[in-house]
Amino acid sequence: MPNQLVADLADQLWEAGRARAPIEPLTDRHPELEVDDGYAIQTRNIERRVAAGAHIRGRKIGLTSRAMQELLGVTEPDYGVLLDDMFVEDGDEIPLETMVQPRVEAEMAFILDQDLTGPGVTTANALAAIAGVLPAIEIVDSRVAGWRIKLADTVADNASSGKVVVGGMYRQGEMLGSVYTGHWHEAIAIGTVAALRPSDFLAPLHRDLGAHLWRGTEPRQVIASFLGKATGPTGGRDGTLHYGRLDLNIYNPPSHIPDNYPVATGAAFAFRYRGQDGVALAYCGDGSTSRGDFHEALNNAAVMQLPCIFVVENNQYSYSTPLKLTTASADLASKAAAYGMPGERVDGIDVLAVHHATMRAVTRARAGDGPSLIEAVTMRMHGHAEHDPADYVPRDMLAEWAKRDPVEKFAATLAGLGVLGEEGAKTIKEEVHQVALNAREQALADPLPDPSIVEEGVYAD
Amino acid sequence: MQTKDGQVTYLDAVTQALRAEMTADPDVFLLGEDVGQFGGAFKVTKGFLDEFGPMRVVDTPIAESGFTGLAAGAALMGLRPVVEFQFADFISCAFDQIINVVARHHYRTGNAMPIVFRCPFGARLRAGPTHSQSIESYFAHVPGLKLVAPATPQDAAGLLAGSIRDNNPVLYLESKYLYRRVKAPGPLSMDPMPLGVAKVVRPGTRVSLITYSAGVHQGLEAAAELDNEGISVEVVDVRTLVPLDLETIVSSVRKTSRAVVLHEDTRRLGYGAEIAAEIQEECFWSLDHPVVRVAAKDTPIPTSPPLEDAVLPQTADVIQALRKVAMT
Repeated sequence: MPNQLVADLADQLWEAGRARAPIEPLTDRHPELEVDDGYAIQTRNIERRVAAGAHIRGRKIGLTSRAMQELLGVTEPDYGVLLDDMFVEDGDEIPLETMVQPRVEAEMAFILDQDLTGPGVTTANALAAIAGVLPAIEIVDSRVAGWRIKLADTVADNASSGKVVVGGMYRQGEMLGSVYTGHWHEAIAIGTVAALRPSDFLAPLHRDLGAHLWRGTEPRQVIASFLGKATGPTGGRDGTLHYGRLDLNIYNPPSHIPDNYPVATGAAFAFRYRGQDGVALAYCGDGSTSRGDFHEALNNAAVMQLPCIFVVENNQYSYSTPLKLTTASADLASKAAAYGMPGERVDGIDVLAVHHATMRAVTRARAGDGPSLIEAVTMRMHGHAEHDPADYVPRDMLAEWAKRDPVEKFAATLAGLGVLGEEGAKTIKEEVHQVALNAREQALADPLPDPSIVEEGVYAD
Repeated sequence: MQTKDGQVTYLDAVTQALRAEMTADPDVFLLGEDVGQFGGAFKVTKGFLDEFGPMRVVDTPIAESGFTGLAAGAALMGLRPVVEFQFADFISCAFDQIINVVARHHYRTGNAMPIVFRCPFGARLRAGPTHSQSIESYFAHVPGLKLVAPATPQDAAGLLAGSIRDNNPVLYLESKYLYRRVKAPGPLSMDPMPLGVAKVVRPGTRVSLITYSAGVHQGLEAAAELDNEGISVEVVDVRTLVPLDLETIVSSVRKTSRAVVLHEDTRRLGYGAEIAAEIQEECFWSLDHPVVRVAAKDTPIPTSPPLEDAVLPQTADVIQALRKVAMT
């Protein structure tokens, strides 16, 4: 086929996609169109998108099954190119007006941790390059009217590619370690931290992203921490949600929660030592209440009457262990009585209830009346981390808790007060989403740490 | 605090340095079990509660992990806690806080965590398996911690002051066997001494004995004995296990070509193994004999005198090892 015709047909497909106006099959008008011509047209349009700033992220192979090949009367698969702008995050909305005539297909995605460059790629090479396999959803699309495609048409149209969902950054293997989410912990993190002064000491755990952000940790740093980038709060020396910024009076806890509880008593001790009325607030989970450091911190704080607020985020599960295998106590707040301090149980879904309980505890602590324990009851809506499908959690339990979204609850409260309408809530949500996307983009572009200084900083000067 | 003859004990040296540092820096405070109203199990802090008040001399519940974490939080806020473990043996209760909270905090964050952990350690007091332990090897392995083990009253004072002024967590290993057995003419200097500087405490030519804490006195005794046989022993007191002053050790061994390493801790993976390995790497071509370790047997420390004596290195064992290495 002449180069000029390849260029013309490529332009027609390009324009069809841009205008969302599908065209008649190329093979209707040019019966002589071969599959190789189709790849020449595909390559021309891919090069155009790459020149405009898109990056090649992967390849797709279609028509791999005998049944599908027979359906189209062909004997070979078809190949297409996956560009970065085709990838959609799990949970994202795809506006219909960005597609021509979309269809959804279930796919398998092979995550490669090295490039496969031919010729001469063997099955063994391919197997060695595969880091993992994921279920994926492909939103195929065709710039050919009515999907009336022959093999050469779909090849020319980049194998009828549209969008693809491979399950977010974690599923795609971009994050180091595991990803811990704080769904249904949002009201606890914010309700508590909002009751503090910026100068008060905060000792978080891995469900308290909101508290970090409230204090001023930049979203980009959060993502950078998960990516092991130099711009993370620890410069890649620690990862996931193990970060803290002492300049924001946030402690960086180790994995051994509630190790942060005794540390918080020390910060509270220092406030009193200096005659300041600062307070220290530490979080742990229901599982942590079994550890000795929980007991020792509460006992020490009570004996010394330290200005501490101990928050237990009771989300019903410590990894796979349900609450009834963690404690025989009727609730966790009543443990406070054993130490001689007030204990209060609040609805962890209700940000205002959490806030008011924290305010009461902070007031007591600032006045020199010692520590308090707050049990905020919620549910862990995901696995312990994203690798954990949490199939040990009864589905009806999750379904019940799913009705109680703390963010929606607060939005409804604000709507009831006439403070924030539906439009306003939607705008905030969109802004936050954009902040997260920007943070991801920045963090992905950020540099990795310099290994030549890996031995520095073990000791302070 | 001097005896009638103007002598200062090792224990008094610790007390004097603590007092001097607390007087010099209002951010320095003490905490631990029975340190206040009782003055400490060994009376190191006797009178401190009256002198400095309950805010700076803090009696804690029996909660080693809890008060270690408290010290960590206070240190992050700019205070300089001095934690007393009543016996070094009890530091195992605080292992997690020391390893995971304290030791690696600076590496993870760049924030300093200046804490001194006073650890009365060691055997020979018939105190049995859980009151006689040497703990240095557990912690010398952990990046981020410093370890100090003075042998003399002057070093006890100077290195305690140096440890308190250091911006890192320091395990200060004080020999409870030496507390009242070792004396030095007073008054002692209260100037802080730098960490990481070993000292040749007896020059010699034929064989080097590398040791620390109570081992230094045993080594000097053995060296005096061997002097009568015409064997000249150089005794090196490493004083600081981390950071280790390898230069002083290496220059001694290159001179004598022979080395014996002595400590009271058990032999297998004791700190002597590290010293011996370093000597082997640095001095191989100077050595006329393999490096020999003299250490406790690989058992817990028993209580009854004949049993404890059988487990711990005795001066006769040190003499025998030195003689063999010197004469072979």
